[in-house]
Amino acid sequence: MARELRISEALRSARFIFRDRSVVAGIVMLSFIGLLAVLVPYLNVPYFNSMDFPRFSPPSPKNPLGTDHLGRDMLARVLWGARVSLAIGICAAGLASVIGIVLGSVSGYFRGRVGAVIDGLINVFQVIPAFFLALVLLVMFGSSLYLLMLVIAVTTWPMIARIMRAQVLSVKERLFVEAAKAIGCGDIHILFKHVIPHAIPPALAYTILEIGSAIMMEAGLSYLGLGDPNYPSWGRMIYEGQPYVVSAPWISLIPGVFLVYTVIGVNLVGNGLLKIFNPKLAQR
Amino acid sequence: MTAFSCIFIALFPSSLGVYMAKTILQRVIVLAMIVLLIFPLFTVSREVSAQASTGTISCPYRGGTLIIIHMGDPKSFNPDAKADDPLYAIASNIFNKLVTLDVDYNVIPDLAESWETSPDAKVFTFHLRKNVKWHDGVPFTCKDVKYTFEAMKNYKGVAYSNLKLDMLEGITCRDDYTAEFRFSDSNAPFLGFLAWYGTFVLPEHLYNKTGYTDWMDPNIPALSKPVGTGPFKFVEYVKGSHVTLEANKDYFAGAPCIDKLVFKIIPDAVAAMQSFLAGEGDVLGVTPPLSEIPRINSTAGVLVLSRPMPSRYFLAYNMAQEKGRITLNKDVRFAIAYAINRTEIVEKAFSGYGFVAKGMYVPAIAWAYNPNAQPPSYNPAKAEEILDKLGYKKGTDGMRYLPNGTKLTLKLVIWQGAQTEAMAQIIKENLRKIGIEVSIEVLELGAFQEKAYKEKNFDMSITDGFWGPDPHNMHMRFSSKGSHNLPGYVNPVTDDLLERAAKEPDLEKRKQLYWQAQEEFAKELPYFPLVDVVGFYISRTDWKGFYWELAGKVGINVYAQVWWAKGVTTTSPQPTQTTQPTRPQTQTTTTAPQGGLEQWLLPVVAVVVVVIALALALTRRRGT
Amino acid sequence: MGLASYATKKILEGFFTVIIAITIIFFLVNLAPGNPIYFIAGDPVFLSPAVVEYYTKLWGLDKPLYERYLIYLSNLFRGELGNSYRFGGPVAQVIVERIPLTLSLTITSNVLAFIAGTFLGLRAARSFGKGFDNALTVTTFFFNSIPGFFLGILLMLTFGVYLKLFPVAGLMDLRNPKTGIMLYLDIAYHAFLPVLTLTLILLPAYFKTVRDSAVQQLGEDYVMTLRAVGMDERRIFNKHVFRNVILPPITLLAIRLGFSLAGAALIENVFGWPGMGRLLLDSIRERDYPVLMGIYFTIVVTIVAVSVVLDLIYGILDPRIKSRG
Repeated sequence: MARELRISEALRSARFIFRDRSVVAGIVMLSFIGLLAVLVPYLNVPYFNSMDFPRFSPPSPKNPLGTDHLGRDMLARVLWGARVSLAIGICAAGLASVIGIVLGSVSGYFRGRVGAVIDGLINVFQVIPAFFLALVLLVMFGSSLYLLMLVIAVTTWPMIARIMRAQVLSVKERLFVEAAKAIGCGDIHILFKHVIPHAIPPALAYTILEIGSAIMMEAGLSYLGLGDPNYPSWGRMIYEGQPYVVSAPWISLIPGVFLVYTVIGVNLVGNGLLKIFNPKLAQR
Repeated sequence: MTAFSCIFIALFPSSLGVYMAKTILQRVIVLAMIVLLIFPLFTVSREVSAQASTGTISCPYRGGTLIIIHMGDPKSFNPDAKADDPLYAIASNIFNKLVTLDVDYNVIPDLAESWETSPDAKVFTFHLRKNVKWHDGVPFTCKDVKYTFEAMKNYKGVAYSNLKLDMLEGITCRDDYTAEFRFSDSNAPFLGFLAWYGTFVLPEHLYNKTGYTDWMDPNIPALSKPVGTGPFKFVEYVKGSHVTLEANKDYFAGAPCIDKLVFKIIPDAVAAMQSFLAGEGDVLGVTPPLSEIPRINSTAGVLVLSRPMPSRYFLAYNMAQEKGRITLNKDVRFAIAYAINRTEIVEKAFSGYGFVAKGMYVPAIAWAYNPNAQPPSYNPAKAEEILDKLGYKKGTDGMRYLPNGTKLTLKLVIWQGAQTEAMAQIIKENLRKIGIEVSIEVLELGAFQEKAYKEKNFDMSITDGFWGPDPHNMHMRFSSKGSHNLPGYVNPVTDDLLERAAKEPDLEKRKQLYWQAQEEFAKELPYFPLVDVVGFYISRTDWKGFYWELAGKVGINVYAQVWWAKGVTTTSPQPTQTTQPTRPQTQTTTTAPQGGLEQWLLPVVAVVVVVIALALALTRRRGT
Repeated sequence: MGLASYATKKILEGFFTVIIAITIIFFLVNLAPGNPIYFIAGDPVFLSPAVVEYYTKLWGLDKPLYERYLIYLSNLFRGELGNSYRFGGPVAQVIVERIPLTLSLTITSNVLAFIAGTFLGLRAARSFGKGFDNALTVTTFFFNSIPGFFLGILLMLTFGVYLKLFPVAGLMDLRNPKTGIMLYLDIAYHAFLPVLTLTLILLPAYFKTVRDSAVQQLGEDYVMTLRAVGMDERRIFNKHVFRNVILPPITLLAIRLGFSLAGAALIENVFGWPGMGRLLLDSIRERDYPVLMGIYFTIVVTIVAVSVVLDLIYGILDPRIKSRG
C-alpha cells in the first residue's frame, strides 16, 4: 500500500514537474548531451588523443570543430570530454549528497550531542573556502580524476547537509512519525524508511544543482592546471587552449560553450525542481 | 631647425583662422586648435647630440625609460641567499659579480679586471677594479668580496654547492684590490660557476653589522632597498606591479644611456605577450607560447632573435635498483627511445622552435660536446621488434602485456607547464602506438621534487635544465654523488670519470674524460635527451644595445648599454603605432647648446603666436 | 535564552570553529608531500645537505608535528603569524600589502552587483511574467551558469584584444606612471574588466533574491491597496516593496563580503591582478607554509566574524530569541 502511494505520488510530481517549461527545456538539453556522451564510443570520431591532424586548424569539414595545438580533433575531444566532465560532476555531487544527506539527517533527527558535533562540522566546513581547500589538496597531493571528485565532494557537502537537516527537523514533527514511534518502530528504521524519503526531495534537487557547480569547480581547478592530464575534461581543454586564446580561440572557447550549455541545462532542471519542492529555498 | 620652420608655417593659417572667426567661441576654438597643433612640436625628437661619456659606454642617444615585461616578483633583494629567478635579471642591473657570463656563456670580467688560477686549481686570485663606488658613495674594496663569499659559506647561499664552498679554506685580501680564494682541493669548475648564479657581490658596510643575525635578517634595510655597484640604482618596488631602477651616473663602465629601467611584472605568459604587443613594454622577458612566435615576429616594430642554449629537455628513466623494475632493462629503455618521435615533439610542443637533442651532452658547450656519442633516432619498427623479442605480447586491445598477464603500463611524472605537458601527451601517444600504456601524472614543482627526486616514484620523468656553464653539470645530474640525480643512476665507470674531471686542471684532459663519460651514457641510456632549447630575445626595434648584441662585452640581463634608436632620427613626430610610444625625458647633462635654445624657443614662439591671435581677436571684436 | 547568553554562545561557537578550521588546514598542509626547503634552491641543483640542514633548523622543521602545531597556535594567540619562507619578512606584512587590491575588486563588485541586482530585481517583479522580467531572468540565469574565469576570458578577448578598449592585464600603466588622482583613475581603468566580470557573476544571486521576494509581495494586501489608491507602479515598487525585500539581499551582501577575501582568485589570475589570489597560488606552489596558513587564517577569521555579527544582528532583531528565557 505504501509503495503504491509513493508511486502515485511520484507520478503526480512528475506531471507537475513537466508542466514547468524551463524544467522540460533543461531535461531536453541534458538528454542531448548525455546521449552524446554515452554514445561516443560508437560514433565515428577519431581517438581523442590521436595527433594525426594539422595543428591549429579552424573548424572545417574534415575537423568540424577544428584541431588543437597538438593536432587532435576537437570534436572528438569535446565529446569524450562530455563523459569526463559529466562523470566528475555526477560522482562528485553524488558523493557530496551522500555525505550531506547522511550527516544532515542524523543531525536533524538525533539532536543533542551528536547533532551538535555534526552541526559544528558543518559550520567548520562551510567556513573553509572550498576552492582554496581544493587547491591546497590538489597541489600538494597531485591531481587525478578520483582526487578531483573527492576534493569537490568534501568541500561542497555542507550545503546539502544543511538542507537535509532543516527538512528532517520539520518532517520528524509530522503525525505519521509520531504514529510510527507509538507502534514501536526503532529510530533508525523510522529515519531511513519514513523520514528520509519525505525529507529528501529538496536535497535531491539541490544535488542536481551541485552537479552544475561541481562541473564548474572542476573547470576552475583545471584552469589552474590541476586537472587530470590523462583525460580530456572540458576544464582541462580550456586550460590547454589558454596560451593560444588569441590566435586560436576555438581551442578554449568550444569546450567552454559546451560547459555553459551543460550547466544551464543542469541549473534549469535543478532550479525547477527546487521551486516545486521548496519555494523558499529556490531563492538562495 | 625644422621645428622652427614648422612654427612659422603654422603661424599663417592660425592668424588667418583667427581673423576669419566671427564669434568669440569660434576664436577660442581656433586658438585651441593652434595650441594643439604646436604642442606636439615640443616633443619632437631633438637632433642627435653626441656627448662625451665618462666610461666605455657610448650613447648615440641619451634618455628614455626602458620597460621589461618580467616574469614575477622577486622574493627579496638579496640575490645570493636563495634561488630567486625573478630577482636574477633585476639583480644583474643593480649588482655586479666578480666575473660574469655573456650571451655565449663565456666568462668575461666584471668587478674583477683580471685573475689567475693556480696550476692545481686550488688558489684563485682576482684583481679588482679600482674607483668603483657603491650606490651610496662608499668605495668598493676587497672586504666586500670577502664578506660576500664568507657569508655565502656561513649562511649556505644558493651558490654554496656550485662553488664548493665547503672546500673553501679562506679568502685573503692581499690589499684593497686583490682577493685570493684558497680551496682545500682542486676546484676546476670554479670560474664557470662563479660567473653564473647567486654570486653577486654585496656591500659589506650595509650587511655586516653586529645586530644582524644573518644576511636575511628582516632589519637589514638593504634587503628591501638594495645598494649595489651596478649600472642602475634601486628606486622603488611595488609588489605585484613593478620594480623601477634609475641610471647610476657613476657606473665604472660609464653612465647608462637610458634614464630609467622598469621591470613590469606579469607572470602569465599570455598576458605578458598581450601587454608587450600592446606597447606596454619594450622587451618581452617572459617566454611566450612558442606557437605565437611567428605572430610576434611579424608584428611591426618588433624584433625576435633566437639562439641555441645549453638547456635541454630530457627523459629520465628510473634507474633505482628494485626488483621487477622494467626500466632497469636496457633493451626496454632503448625500445622506448626508438618509439619516441622527437621531430614531432619539436614541431608540436615547441612549434618548431627547438632542436632534436644531439649528443648526450649539449652542443652549445662546444668544447666538451662529444659528437660521437649519440642517442637513438626515431625507429618505431625497431622498438616493436625489441619488445616482441622480450616477450611482451600484444593483446586484443593492441596493448602489450607482461608474461604474467598484467598490462605494460608506465608512469610518466612531469611538472606542470605547457611544454612538458604537451611533450608528455605526444610521448604517451607515441608509446600507445607500439602498445605501451603511459599514465601521465602532472605535479606542482614542489610535489614533483618530492615525488620524483626524493621518492623516485616514477617510471619515466621529463624535466628540463640548464646544462652549463660547465660540463660538471653532468656530475650533478648523473653521478651517484650528484645532488640532482633524477634517474637515480649509479655507474662506477661514469662516477669515476666525472669525479676525476672535476679535479683535472688541464682542459684537454678534462675534455677527454667528459667525452668518455658521454660515450658510456650513450651505451647505457639512463636518460634520453629530447629537445635542445632555443632562447628568444624579443624587443622593440626602437631600442638597440642589448646584451645579446654585445657578446663579450656585456653580461647576461644587463641593460646598461641600451639606447633609444628612434631618438637618432629628427623632427618627425612620434611614430603612430597603436602603441604608446616612449616619450624620452629630456636629459640635463652634457647636451649640446643647440638643444637648450630650441627648448626655450618653442614655448616663447607659442606664447607670441597666442598673444598676436588674441590681439587680433579682440580688435576685431571691437570693430563689429 | 536572553540576548547575552545567545551572543556568548554564538561567539564561542565562532571561536571554536576557527580553531578547528585552522587545525585541519595545519595538519593537511604539513602532512602533504613537498618539502619547502626545496624551494629555497629553486632548481635542486643548488641544494646540498648543509643547506638543507641549515634551513631545517631555521624554520623549526626538525621538530615533531604536534610540537610545531602547538608552537603555531601559541604564536597565533599572540598575534604572531610568523615569517614567510619565500620573502623572509613577516607574513602579516606580506598579506596586508595584497589585501587592499583584492578587496577593491570584490567589495566594488559586490556593491555594484547588489545595487544593480536589487534595482533590476524590483523592475523585473514589476513586469512579472512579461517581456522585461523574462528577458532579465534568462540573462541572469545565463550569467549564473558560466564559470567566472571563462567569462573573464571572453570579456578580455572582446574588450581587451579585439576592441582594444581596455588594458589586458596588470595594475597600472608603467610607461608613464601617473600620480595622485590620475594614478587612481589609471588603476580604475585597469580594474574595469575584472570588476565587470565579477559583478556579472555575482549579480544573478542578488537579482533572484530580490525578484522572488518582490514577486511574493505582489500577492500582499498593501500592494493591492496602493494600486487601488492609484499610486504609480514605480513608486509602489521602489519605495514600499523595496523596504520589504531589502533584508535578504543585504544578508547575502554581508555573507559575500565575508567571503570576499577568498573570492576572486581565478579572475585575478585571468587579468593578472596582483591580489591575494595570486599570493595564495604562489604560496601553495612554493610551499610557503607560513603565508599559506596566514591567508587561511585571515579568510577564516573574516568569514566567521561576519557570520557571528550577522547572527548577533538577527538575534537583536528577532524577538523570539530575545524572549526565549
